[in-house]
Amino acid sequence: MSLDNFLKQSLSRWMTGEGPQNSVAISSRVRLARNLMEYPFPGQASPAQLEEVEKKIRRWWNTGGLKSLGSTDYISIKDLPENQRLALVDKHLISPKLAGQDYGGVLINKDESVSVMINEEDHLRIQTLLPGSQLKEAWNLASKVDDLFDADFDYAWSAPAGYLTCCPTNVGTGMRASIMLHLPGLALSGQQSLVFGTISKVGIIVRGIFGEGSEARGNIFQISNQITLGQKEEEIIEALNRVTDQVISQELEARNRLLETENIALRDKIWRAYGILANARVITSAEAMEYISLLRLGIDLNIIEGINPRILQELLVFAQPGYLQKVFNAELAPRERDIKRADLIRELVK
Amino acid sequence: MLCQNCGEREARISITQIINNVKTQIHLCQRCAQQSGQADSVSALQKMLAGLVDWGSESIGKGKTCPGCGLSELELRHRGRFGCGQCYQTWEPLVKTIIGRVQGRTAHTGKIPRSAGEHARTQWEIDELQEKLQAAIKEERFEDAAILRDRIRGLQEVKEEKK
Repeated sequence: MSLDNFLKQSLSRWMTGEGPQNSVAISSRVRLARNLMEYPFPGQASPAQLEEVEKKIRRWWNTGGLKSLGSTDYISIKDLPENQRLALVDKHLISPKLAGQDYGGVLINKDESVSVMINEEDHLRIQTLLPGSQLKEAWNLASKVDDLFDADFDYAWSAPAGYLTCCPTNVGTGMRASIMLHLPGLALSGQQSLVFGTISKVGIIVRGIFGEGSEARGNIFQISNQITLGQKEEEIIEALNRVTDQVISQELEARNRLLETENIALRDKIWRAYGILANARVITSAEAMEYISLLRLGIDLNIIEGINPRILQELLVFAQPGYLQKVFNAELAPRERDIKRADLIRELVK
Repeated sequence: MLCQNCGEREARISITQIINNVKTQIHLCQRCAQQSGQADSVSALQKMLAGLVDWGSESIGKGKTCPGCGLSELELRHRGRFGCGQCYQTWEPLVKTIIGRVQGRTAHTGKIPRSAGEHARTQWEIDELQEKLQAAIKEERFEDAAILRDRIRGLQEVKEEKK
């Protein structure tokens, strides 16, 4: 199979680059934390209890518990070699915590828009991931999956706290909704602090995708709810959507302003980024993300043509250390990774 | 200015910490400052500065363990995580304080699972339909409103019968 075909077949639905407001919004995610009433939470459960929970859920899945989602796979973490675990982390389908455990599992549907982690911090972590700005749709899908489990398992619950979770930061709805945004316009015009400022006031947090604070790699930011209790799920989603719409319109404004006031400087930056990506023989992940962000901005502004805008999503996943090793099916030392990453990028950019 | 730890009392003590040229300042009331000093001053302060959940140091029953999972008070404070659903009752007064501190509120208003019991679930469905009914009336969709009203009545009867 050619590299191109292999990568195309490896696309999760969220990576397709589709969805509303897709020039800024990359993906929308909703995660629900749920626990089974009759067992201690995974952190306090005995190995035998952990196994029992996993077996129970697996048997339920085997007898068609998730049938209405179409075909799904059950992956047991201990059966998975290291690089495949990392590849799932890179695709945002499992957490680094689950990848590091020798117990637990994950259920994934065909287009990878639904994944359910078993025995992570909570017994169940139901997650849905959709392309573009679709938090409401992601919530509806997550709630539907939640109903399937709820029909056959007794969830840990109490009034007035709501769904009981291992960590008090998740109690209540157990819901964390987040949207990933590409904000090169605001970053280039030095305005990202403005976004951080407006958002931190309303119980909503912003963080850079690979770290805290303003050091967002590739100008990718994540906006999510901090508070999980006292508001209905729909209210939380609406609040996030209001903030997101505001940020998106600020970003689009910033892009237009850059086009008007710094046209040549902007084009120069974008074409230089393209030049490096199309020709580099060795490139680190941080450097790659910086230039891919500029390249994608160039595609969005019609400065660069003939490259699929999806390249941002592809490289966000495939250029990560874990996935790179899967693509080339080998364990790679850091230096080798930087070389293979450059090879992969040249292939995708040409 | 209110104490940044409890958010209740007036802050009287300012603590400045400089790590790697990064200056952080925290304002505490007398009591919280003393408590963090009595316990383990460094770790308590670090937790506060890092913005983590502060579990305070008020004792809640010495030597108590959760009958549901065997978690001790010390483990609970150390990990900052509950061991099972029953922990929420076992450590009741503390749990409420912590949830209030983390979430700002203490009562859940969203979705309800089957395990909450039929009564609670029916009430939740009624509340959901009421909201839809109000919206329908506001938008003058009177046919929809009539259907919603009948469904609400139906559910209310079910609830009455099961009382």
